Amino acid sequence: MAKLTLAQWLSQAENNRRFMENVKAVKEIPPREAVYADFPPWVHEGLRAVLRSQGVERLYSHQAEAVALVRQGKNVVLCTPTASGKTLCYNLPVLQRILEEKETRALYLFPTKALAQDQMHEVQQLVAGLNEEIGVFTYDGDTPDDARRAIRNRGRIVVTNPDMLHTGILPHHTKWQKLFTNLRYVVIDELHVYRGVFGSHLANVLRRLSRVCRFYRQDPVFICCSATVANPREHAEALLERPVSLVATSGAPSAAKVFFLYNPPVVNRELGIRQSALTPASKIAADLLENSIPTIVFATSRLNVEVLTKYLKDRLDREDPGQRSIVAGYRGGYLPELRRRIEAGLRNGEILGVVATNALELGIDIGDLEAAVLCGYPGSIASTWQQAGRAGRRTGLSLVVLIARSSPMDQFLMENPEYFFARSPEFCRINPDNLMILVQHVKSAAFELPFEAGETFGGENLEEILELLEGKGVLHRVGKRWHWSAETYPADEVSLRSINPRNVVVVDATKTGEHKVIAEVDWDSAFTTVHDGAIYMVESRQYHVDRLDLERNTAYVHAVDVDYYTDAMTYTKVGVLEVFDGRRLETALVEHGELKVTSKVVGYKKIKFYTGENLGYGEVDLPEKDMHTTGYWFTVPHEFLLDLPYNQSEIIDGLAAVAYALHHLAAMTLMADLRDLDRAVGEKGGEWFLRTGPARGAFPLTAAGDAPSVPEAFDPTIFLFDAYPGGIGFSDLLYERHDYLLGAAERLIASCPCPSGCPSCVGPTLEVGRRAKETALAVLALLRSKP
Amino acid sequence: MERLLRGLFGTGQMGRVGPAVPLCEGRGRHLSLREAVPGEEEENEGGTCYAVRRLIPGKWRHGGRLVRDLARLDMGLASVLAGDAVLNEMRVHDALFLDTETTGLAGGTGTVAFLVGLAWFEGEDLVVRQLFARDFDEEGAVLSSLGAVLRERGFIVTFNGRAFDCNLLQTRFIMNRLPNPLEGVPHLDLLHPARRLFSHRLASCSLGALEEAVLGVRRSGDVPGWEIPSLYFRWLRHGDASALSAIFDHNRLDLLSMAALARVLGEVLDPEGEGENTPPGVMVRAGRLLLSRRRIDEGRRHLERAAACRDDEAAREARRELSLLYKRAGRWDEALRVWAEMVGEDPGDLFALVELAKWWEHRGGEPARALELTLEALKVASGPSLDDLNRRRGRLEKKIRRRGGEG
Ligand SMILES: [Zn+2]
Repeated sequence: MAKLTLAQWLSQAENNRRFMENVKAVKEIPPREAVYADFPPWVHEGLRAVLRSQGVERLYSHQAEAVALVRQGKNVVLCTPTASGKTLCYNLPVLQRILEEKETRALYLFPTKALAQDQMHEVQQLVAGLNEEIGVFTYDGDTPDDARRAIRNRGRIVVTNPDMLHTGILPHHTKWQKLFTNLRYVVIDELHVYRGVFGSHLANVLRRLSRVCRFYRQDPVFICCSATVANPREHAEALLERPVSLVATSGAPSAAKVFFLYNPPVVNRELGIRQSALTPASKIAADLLENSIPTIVFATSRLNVEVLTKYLKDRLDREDPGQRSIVAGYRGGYLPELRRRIEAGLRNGEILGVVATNALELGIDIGDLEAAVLCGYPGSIASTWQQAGRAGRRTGLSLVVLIARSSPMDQFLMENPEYFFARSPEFCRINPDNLMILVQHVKSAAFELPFEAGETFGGENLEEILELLEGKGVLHRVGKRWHWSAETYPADEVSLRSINPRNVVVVDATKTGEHKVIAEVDWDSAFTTVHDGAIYMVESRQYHVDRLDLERNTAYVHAVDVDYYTDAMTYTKVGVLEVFDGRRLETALVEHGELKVTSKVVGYKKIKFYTGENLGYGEVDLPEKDMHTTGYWFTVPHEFLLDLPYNQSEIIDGLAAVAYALHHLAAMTLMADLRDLDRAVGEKGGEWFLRTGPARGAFPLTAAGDAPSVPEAFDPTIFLFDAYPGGIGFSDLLYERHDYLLGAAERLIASCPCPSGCPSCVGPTLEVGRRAKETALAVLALLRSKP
Repeated sequence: MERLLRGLFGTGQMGRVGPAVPLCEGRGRHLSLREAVPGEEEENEGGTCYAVRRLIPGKWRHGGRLVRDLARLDMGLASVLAGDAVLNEMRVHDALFLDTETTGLAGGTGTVAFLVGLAWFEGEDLVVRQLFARDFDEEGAVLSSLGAVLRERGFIVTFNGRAFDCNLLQTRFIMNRLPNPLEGVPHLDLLHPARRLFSHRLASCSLGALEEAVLGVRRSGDVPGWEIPSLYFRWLRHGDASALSAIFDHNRLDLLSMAALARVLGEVLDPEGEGENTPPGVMVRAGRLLLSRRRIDEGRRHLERAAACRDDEAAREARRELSLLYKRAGRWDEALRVWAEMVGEDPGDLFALVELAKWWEHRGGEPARALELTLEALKVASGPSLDDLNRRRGRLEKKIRRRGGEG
């Protein structure tokens, strides 16, 4: 059978009625012509020559605009599409300045080591053509000790990541005297990655960087690049805390792209269950690969990467045995060596298809791919465009297929494609004054340079924090200064990426005496992925977790071959610590403030491959986890609920169903990741909590896990809260949008085609009960009734 | 915010803090600094700090030695220890012994040297000057004072100063916007030669371990180093100086031990020294150190002495080094004698057998003899040396056959 080109494949697909029935929208994005500008007159002749030798005769208009602003000493954020030549916008002014003043230094920040490596090679190529001694180095955890001193002294451009700046550079700034006394530029690429907790941390690391620069009497210019988000300038200014100029009109050409929104068909009308997104994803991807069309498949979780890789390998094997090696999985948690091997395989064509999490959505060079299959909405529109951008960076035509899951967010997109194509994507938000984050960085900042009275560090009252830390004994005040006065190294106590820096290693103990580390899992996800009895998958191989040893931070596993995977069940209980603001409505009390959230993994489900059938449950005994955070909630007096024509457990199901819909809509409204928020139904005093799932019901706190008993009388509360200790600043926004959220929830549930509830509106009926849709609508009607 | 902060810290987010000793329990009253550690305020361009001066008279003993004897350090040998010929042109009275007490071992910009101990010889006495920052704002004065003392001396002597004290002080000078007077000053860091000479005999090469094993010093009631930061923090917070004198004593003992160690290391290198006291293993290492500094003659004398010792292991090592030294110098007779001795003592000494075989093959012109030795060596060889020996055997057998044909 002759292989099809992508264009042929597309026209065949468009004539396939069964395929097109599920395609909710087709968007053809036309190619765009380039807009050029001449090199500014100040650009060094040698630099021009190097660029010309790389085929750059002129600049794109946005490049010219950006370099002119930088030249004027303005901080710049560049917000143009993938592959629009953003790196030149900083490499050009930086190299120019180094050619003019030999001692000039620049610091480049990338969110990952791999991106830093890529960028170092790119700059080194430019430098090689210049015939000048310009040291360009990466500096990260992998840098050998004997190379570090040379890099500190000779590196003109030091390429690193925020974590290394935080733990390795700033607390040792005296060793970096050469860099800091000559630091003219700081480059921050992938700016949109720094949102939520990571962004809040980075903003504080940059506060510390600014303090250190001031000490060396430097005020560097910041050059930032971002994927297309709605508020690049606002976000850059929030991160940098200084004015920033925006360059957003791209002059780069772009290739034609065809974008499909694909909604898998409903397979069980009664339960409102759609075909799993994994099925069409593997089918479409396999079809593309069989035609030798290089394809990347994005999955939304590590688990799905493994499942999809297995499906794809199985499918390719059936068609043509031996073909399974042309597909590889790629995700965080794989050891670096394996990742490098897969990247190289993609570049040299040995690997034609890759199944990845968003670990690959950033600019790691994996060569030219023609098609991207997105198995599920990645959770943000910026991510969607970035993932889409991995296909067809240089080729003529490319294809993107976004396949919806049954989640409310995905379904909302399928019903409202214009939201996706026409509307500007989401906002990046950070809360650098989150106290938990702030205080940790105040400690690191004091370690780096004593605080002076009257100094500021973010928006909170610094002196109050300094006094508190003095009371804790880690700072000591003398005269007008607070000095670090503890033996510890505070930067080591903070991880910028997760609240808990601990990791759990997964050890394969299949062969006694030959234990092998096969992966690492961060502390928080360890509870749900490598608990006792879990099936953990790496490279689509299955491992049974024999024991999770929290003291040793190790999970011991052995290889198995089973037909199911596992999904952890957790319960969450919430207590109100402080109310910031509240208002009483006719049928509810709406509030926001501070919460204490306790969660515990109580068990897991075994789910059969392909059918999704539930094969049984297992119990897990893990400690509870506590978190202080901020949230929004509303409480319904029970007497109103008792008036509804449903029994207690049905009402509880209805409340859980409302919370489910609100959670998804809130994330969407805030344009936040679903995982940035969490939900719970319970009682404000934390005396009761509700559990969903097969053993669902209301439970008193004292007898958690024992026989369910229906509360005589308590006023249930629905909580939506920031899923990070200390809060990320979403809750007051939700509080203000309470009425909007309830209205949207009512519309979502009422317009869902399912008869009695489904994952797209109120959650799976197995978890929320058979009458959840009906009771949820009744609860919402009650809440929205006007006097 | 207060409560949220408390909530955050309540869950163990805060680093481990606090003194290792209970606060002021069982103590009648606070001692003032002057009571605990008599000294005086010093004022200089960096501000004010507290300075303590003590004279350790030449007639005092430290371990087995008189203090005045410590001043007899041979500067030629000191330059060998430091690996820096500049010391040859200095006098022992140019030495500034330096040791700091710090707020931690974590390194980085948040670690402070709150006590800088300095010592030097005046006549036959050792003068100790300890500069103390009573609080963080006195650091500038401590550093300035250090600079002033250093200007009067020619080089510094430390124990692990390259990696620790000088590194830390470099940071402190930058943090205080002061030029670093230590830059470019000749530096004898005793840790490195001590390691080369003694690490084979000691589990640890800390100053404490060397004191016990080499200097014959036993400290009693000394404050352990790891406790020092918390004692200083306790002083900062509660103004109780009673624990401080222990830190000053500790620091002074460190300085004194450094002076003693420098003298002992010099002695060990001295081929004219009292050889009976130096263990043969150390002698071999002293020889090696001298050889690596191109002091061939002195190095050879150490090796010769060690080779004559009863200690089999050390003697064998020494002979091996020595024979190679002779070989390099083309003193074949002496080399042959040593190898013969080695084989005489141990007929299975692989090293000597191989060297002898090489000699008889290439210089002695008796391949049969060389083959005999090679076959002998093959009986005891293992691993990669087997291949070499078999190759040699093949070559020799061919040679012998060829000769037989000729003859
Ligand atoms: Zn539904």
